[in-house]
Amino acid sequence: MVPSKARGFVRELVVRGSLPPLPLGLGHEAVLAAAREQGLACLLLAALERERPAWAEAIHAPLVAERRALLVRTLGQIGLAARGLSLLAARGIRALPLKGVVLAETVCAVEADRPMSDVDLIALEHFDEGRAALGEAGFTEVARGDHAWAFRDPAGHGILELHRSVVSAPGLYPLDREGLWARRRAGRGQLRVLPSAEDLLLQLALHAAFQHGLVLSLAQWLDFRLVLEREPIDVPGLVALATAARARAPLAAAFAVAGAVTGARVPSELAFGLPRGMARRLEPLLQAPLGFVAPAEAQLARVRFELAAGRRLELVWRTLVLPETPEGDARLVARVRFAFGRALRLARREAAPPVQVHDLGEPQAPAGDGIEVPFGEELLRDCLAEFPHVRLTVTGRCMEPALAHGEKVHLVSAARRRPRVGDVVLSRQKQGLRLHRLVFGPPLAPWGARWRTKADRGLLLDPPLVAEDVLASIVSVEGRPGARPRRTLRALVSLTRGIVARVTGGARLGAEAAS
Amino acid sequence: MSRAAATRLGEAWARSERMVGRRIGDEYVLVPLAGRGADLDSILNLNRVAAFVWEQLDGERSGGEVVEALLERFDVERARAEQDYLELIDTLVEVDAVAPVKRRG
Repeated sequence: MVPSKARGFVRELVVRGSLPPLPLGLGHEAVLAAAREQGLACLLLAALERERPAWAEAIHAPLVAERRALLVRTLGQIGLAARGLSLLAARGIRALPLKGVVLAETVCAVEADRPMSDVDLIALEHFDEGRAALGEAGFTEVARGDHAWAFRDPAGHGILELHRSVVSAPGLYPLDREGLWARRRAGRGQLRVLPSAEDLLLQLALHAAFQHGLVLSLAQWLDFRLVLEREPIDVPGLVALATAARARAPLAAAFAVAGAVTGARVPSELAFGLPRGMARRLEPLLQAPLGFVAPAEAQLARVRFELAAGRRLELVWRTLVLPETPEGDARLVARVRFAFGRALRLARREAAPPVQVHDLGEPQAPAGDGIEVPFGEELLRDCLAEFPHVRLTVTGRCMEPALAHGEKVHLVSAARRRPRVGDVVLSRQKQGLRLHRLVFGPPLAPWGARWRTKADRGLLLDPPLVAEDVLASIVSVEGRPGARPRRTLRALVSLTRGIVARVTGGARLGAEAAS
Repeated sequence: MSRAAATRLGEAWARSERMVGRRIGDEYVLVPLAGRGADLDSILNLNRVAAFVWEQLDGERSGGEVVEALLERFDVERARAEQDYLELIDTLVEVDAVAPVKRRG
């Protein structure tokens, strides 16, 4: 686990642009872990190479190796985006890259500076044809979200997300597709075409505020500062774009936080448009900027509600009523019928239909104790934030009979659905990610207390966790609609057994020591 | 210098679009994009001289001109510079990092 002191150190590095003094008691390994967690390993390395502090000698070599690996990976990802654009262009579909790949090719000195879990393209027209083009080129669909579909690259392990909207409530912040295309600029590297710097900033702001509830990694917050500092920004133009997209509130909110987190100098024009209630709530929170840095818990629903001041009915409508049903029916009656069913499911907190699921694939290793996550925690976190549900395959038998080996489960991020005692949760343990039952946590645990998990068939409790270590909880099991993942009574029995096992085990050990 | 070497110095070479050179920190690396995603196992580390030569391979300058630039930039003898240049070109050709453009006699 990364101590918050280490995260604070890395944030200070971002703000100052140079290494802050190493706080007492903070080890170099914690700094390294925090930099990696926040996507800033290269920034840390650059600072170490400039300043050569003695405390960092041990982490220099691993960081150099990581920088090379990141360079290779990011170049590959930009190549993937370029191939996606070419495929779409060959069908006459206008499309632009979004977010990370654009930043890597524009404001970053070297592509390795901007690690990303996947690449994003937005189709400005004929979204369905675009999907088909990717499918015909061998891309495998792995997920469908309201605003984007995710595909796995046939040639590698990269994930490409094809968007039809920047946020998951298409139409809430209307896209000026013709304007986006008209303002495009030529790329200088693998990407032949890029959005304008102003469009890029607006997209980053919408993504930060609406999609992530104003909680991002430090690297993502740093994006705002780098674009402001390294691109010639037409500020009145950006304000006009945001106004046309009805996105002044997310723009102002995102820049307020980016300024607080990274020390970016935000033009005053960008600060207007924040709803009064939200401004009041944010003001004290901005004094503690790490509250906006992942893995802090995002109050996604609250942020969206605040951003939509004056448009809340529309927020509900746009969230529920998609441009078409999962079957592709664009008629209003069909869309409303689907939306009604969706609202009912949400109200009952049932699982959404499978089309909502981001599938992270089959286990690639023999069954172990817990689960296998093929794409790693970074991608998993990103998917949990971006998609309503993530689908994983269970390996191991430690949760039987609740979960059988090979079963597919749907997970919802802790930000969207707060875990409670009895839930089977995906948590970050020392050995990696594990799907175990939450036996001590909300609503039993007092605020700030450590949470405990345990495998149903295990004897002992897992090590204590902080809330941020619990990433998601299971909401349904595929093929077993009646399965009820939350079992409060079972959790309490399991907790009791764990405590008894610990006490009796401890007594036995004590007796052995005495003898 | 042999006739073969002289001929080769008359050739111009261009960097392949499938190979990207980047200076990162104290090192300069060549990463083959290979059209299908980069490959960590096949990146090349270039020293200062090799990185300088790589940046000169624009498809216009002949080997002789690149060697002249080397002599201006680095404290090195002509024979050594020519030899190093040709060896580097051989290495780059092996990994498809460069392609010949035209002969200049």
